[in-house]
Amino acid sequence: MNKTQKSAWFGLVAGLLCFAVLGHVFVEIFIWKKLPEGFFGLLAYCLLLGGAFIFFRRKQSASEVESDERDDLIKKRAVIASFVSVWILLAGVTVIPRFVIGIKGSIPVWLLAFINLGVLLGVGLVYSVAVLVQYGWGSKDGEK
Amino acid sequence: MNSAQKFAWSNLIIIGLTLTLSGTMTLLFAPQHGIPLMGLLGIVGISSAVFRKKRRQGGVTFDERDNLIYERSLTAAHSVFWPFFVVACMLPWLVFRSSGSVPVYVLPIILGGGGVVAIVVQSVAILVQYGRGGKGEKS
Repeated sequence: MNKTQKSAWFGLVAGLLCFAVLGHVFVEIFIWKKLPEGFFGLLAYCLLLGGAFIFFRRKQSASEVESDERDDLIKKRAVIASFVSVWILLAGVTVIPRFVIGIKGSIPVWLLAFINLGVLLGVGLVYSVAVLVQYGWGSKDGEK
Repeated sequence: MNSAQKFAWSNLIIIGLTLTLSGTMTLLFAPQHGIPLMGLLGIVGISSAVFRKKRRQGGVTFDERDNLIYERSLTAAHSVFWPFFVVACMLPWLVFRSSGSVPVYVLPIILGGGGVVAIVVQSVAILVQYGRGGKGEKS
């Protein structure tokens, strides 16, 4: 498994965990109508994951190979896939409330922040999945 | 002027004309007369479809350099779109605080505004990279 694949796996796992945290916070605020206990702890947890991701992306040792042209092409395609997913996700989240609440309805401003974070996480997941799919889920190429 | 430059110029002209027409009608008459004219932005979709067709045909009309310029312009567009989207989502929270609410019809407006910003940035990035239309290959 090469550096790009490791990053993609980490991004996928971290993204799913962040989705779970975001979902928990969403349910507490909008369904149970209370500010979640340990909200800032959860936020710190997400920041920690982000920080770990940055460290994880760093080269582990001098012997670790740099990415080649194929890796660059895979990453480029994954970026394009995530660009496309931005618009699909945003179109979804902007149209769905209209059908759920109605054209004359309104949503709390908090929801905008959740939409923002949700789309960001969704795009990150699409990027990671696109990388892993192109590598054949890590089984065929890029072995150390 | 190659197909990418034509695509960029057509986008800028369509968006410029639409915003001018819509703004003028809104100022002179009423928003009910001006806002429907924003539908003219849909013409951008036609220019994108024509450009995509030419790009996929490849050949001498669209080489590696053109591809690189296009990809960079796409990255630039999304690099500007994201901060725009974050501000558009966070600003209402900052202004109205947690007790406020926004009508659902605002969401497509945010998306549409972000789309216009992204297309403008992409078009400008294409033109800037080609040296403002002076050095591109003839189609």
